[in-house]
Amino acid sequence: MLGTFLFEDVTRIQHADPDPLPETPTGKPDNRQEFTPAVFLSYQPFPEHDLSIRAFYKRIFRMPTFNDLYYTDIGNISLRPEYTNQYNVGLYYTKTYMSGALKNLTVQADAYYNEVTDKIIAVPKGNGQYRWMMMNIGNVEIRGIDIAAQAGWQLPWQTGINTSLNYTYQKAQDFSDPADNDPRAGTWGGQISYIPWHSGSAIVNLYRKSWELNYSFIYVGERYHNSANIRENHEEPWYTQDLTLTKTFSHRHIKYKLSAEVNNLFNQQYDVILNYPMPGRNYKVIVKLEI
Amino acid sequence: MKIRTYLLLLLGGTLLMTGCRKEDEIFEPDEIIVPGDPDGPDDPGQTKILGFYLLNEGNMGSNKSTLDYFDYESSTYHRNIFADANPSVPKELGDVGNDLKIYGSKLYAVINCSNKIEVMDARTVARLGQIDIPNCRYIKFHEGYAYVTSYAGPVQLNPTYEQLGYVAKVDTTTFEVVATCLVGFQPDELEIVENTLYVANSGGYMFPNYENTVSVIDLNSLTETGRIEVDINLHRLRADNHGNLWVSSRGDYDRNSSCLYWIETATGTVNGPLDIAVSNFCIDGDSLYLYSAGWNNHRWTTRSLTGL
Repeated sequence: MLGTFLFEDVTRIQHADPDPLPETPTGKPDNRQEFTPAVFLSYQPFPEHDLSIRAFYKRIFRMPTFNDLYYTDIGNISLRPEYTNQYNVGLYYTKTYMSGALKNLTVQADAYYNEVTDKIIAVPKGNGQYRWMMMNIGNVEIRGIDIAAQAGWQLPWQTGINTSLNYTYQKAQDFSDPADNDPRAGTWGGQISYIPWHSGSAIVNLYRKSWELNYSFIYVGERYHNSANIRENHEEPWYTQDLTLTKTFSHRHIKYKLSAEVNNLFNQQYDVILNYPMPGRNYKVIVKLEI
Repeated sequence: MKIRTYLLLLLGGTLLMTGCRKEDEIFEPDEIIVPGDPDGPDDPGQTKILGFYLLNEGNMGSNKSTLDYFDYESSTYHRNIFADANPSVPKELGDVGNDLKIYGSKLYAVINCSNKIEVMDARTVARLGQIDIPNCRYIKFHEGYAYVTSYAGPVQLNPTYEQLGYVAKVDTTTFEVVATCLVGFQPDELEIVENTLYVANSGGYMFPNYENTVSVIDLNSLTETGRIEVDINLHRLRADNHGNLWVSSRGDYDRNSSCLYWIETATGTVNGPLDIAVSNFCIDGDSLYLYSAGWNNHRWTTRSLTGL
């Protein structure tokens, strides 16, 4: 997308009042136009290997949605649009193997730097997980690395394994208020609300004919409740491990899929959001029918 | 890549990350040495006052209300002392600290959204117990009993709120509620003048249908004997040395700004308003010291609409 044109058909009305407040804007908001260029580069250094190096630059403009602006109690009509400059460099490699246990391998790695002005975020208000508020964070710089690897293996006795590994490093810093730089309690340079530095997952899927065993591990590193990264706002990392056993079979034109799950295998007590504890070890049995 | 190497890497990575959770931390209080006032007395020990306690409200819903202490003698500010003095109390002080008073040898902290009053020893801050009162607001004492105002219902903005507030009479030795008296909606501060209890009713959840009265209660029978009509959204209520009750109105954060009234208790006459915004005030001798931060919802500023 090279340009964005916005035509807004919303009229702001004053309350019926003999003495309207002079500072509340009325009438129709102005139509907007923004120039948002993007440049993409891709290079394949070795013709015999499926390896490509990519880079891109994007300028993005995001208007707050109708819900962001006007939804009861959550919306914020003073929300400004979000502007981002994105820089990304990455590589992508995939290979299929004719012999050996390893059948295919795909590796992706990306490093990125984003500058976001007026990032629109939803922050839980704490009164309930269903009540959030929208706000702009003036100036955020995000530096990150994403690594992903998938592999497929073929073993004897008709067994196969698919594995998937993901890791993200993200440093999202709040540079909105240069005056708020007290080393103990300031927000300047602090990691923004609920964004972890380290997060990742590992999935191992073992399958043989109609049986499947899936193990997944999710890790979300330490976070802070808001940009003031003080010990009172610190949230511990959490990680869960889940195990699922699935059997598929057909009977009289109906396909059945039975699964038994154990989630949070080691019964970890954790909060994703402050003061809202997540379930400990729990079990599920799922039956799926395809008619 | 060999499968064994791959799986070993996976297992290693998993184990590495599982070693990363810490036990719950008991916060040590911050100790900040406050430099002496260059223009003040050289020896801080000159004053009779040993120090003061300060209760921080904390963001509602975050359970981060804390208690601080400033020691005049050593000029040290101790921040967040409750957890350190009471390491076995789960979830610490609670959510939204609203009022703090000392009566006798005990320190009472009214924790509004935790629906309790924490009672501690006034010298050591060691927990003695708690008084369970839903949505409790302010506390005053008289002859061995504590009187606590309570909004009674849930925290909820609702112009047609139905639950009336009440005053609870609590025995300060047993922490049991011995009597209650229904008043208006969302009662805030209270004051006792010569066997009569006065309660400022705010109706603060019910914009624009705010309450506008002060309840008058006979202390012996703990029954409401009348109401005095003043202004909307009443908040602070304090007596001076001349039988007057000074009461503040928060206004409606829109057209009507905050202001101050005084009621002559002998006659029930309401005087005022004084067109000054009031957040809180303190009466010392014949002077009233106040501070304010008016807020206007429409303009999102602290300037009042009437241009004061």
